[in-house]
Amino acid sequence: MRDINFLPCQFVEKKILKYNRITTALIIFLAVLNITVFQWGIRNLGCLVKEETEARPEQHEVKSTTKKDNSTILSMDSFSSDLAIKLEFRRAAISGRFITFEMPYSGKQDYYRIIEEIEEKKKYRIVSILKSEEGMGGAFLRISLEVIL
Amino acid sequence: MKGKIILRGEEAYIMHLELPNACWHELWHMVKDELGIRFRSVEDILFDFAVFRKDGDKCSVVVYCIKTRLNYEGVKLKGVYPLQFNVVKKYIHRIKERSCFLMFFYENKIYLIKLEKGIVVLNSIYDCCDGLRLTDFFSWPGEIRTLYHINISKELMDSLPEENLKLVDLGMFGKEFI
Repeated sequence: MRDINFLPCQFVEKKILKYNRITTALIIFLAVLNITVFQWGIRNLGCLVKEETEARPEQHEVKSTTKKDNSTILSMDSFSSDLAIKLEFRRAAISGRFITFEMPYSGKQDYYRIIEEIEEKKKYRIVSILKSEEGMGGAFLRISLEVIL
Repeated sequence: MKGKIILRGEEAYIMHLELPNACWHELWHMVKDELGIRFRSVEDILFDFAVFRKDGDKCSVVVYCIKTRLNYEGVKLKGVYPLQFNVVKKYIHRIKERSCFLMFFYENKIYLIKLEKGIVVLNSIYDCCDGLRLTDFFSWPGEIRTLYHINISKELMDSLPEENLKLVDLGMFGKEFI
């Protein structure tokens, strides 16, 4: 049985008022505590992510490799669709945005023709064009390009 | 230090109310408003209540009222307890039945109480000076056959008119108990 207490009304009202005040104060305190803990948690999470990023540099390498791989594929696509069908070439090497290939050299006009072909596409920057010494298969041009992706 | 007042020989007016299910202080306000309607003013009324049964969104409340004119100016009060409620509180753990009667003797008065689920549902105070007359007490409704008694001599118990009642003696207490 609950303690039956015949307290006069004014005493009970005071008690209820006190109870309400304590409850309100407790609710406010809990809300403030909640917000503080939440903010502390967010800050900690930020620090944790930063530490994790610093602790795993190899992941970045993997990411950059993926990007490089992707650029190589794009360069190859571009080269095969634009130049490979028009030029007679051999030994093409593609690394990232850089393409190196060789083509037979028959005369001076080959310089003009290849430069014209490349610049017409407006997608490539010529890094170098070198002429090799004449060997068994004749002379050839070694062309290096950079693809503007 | 807060004081405690024990009211002796004050019979509590008991009534049953059906109220919506709410927390204690909301129920208290509802009971106060209800008493204000019934008695016009609650200034001189001391009251408290006990929740008898909760049934969904309704609850059955037993309200106890005492009309008294006490001056509480500047008093730090812990509580006002009628003697019969104080005795019930102290002996409730020894009462096993769901429904029973409790009778005790104190300062030439016989206090009679009916308990249901440990809650006082009826109370009566008889003056013992002209001899014991308990006919009203045994005319109370219900099938309760157990009577707990405290502070009552064997001779007095033998003088009870009821024969089929199971009597349980809970001992004696003196003024120091109160």
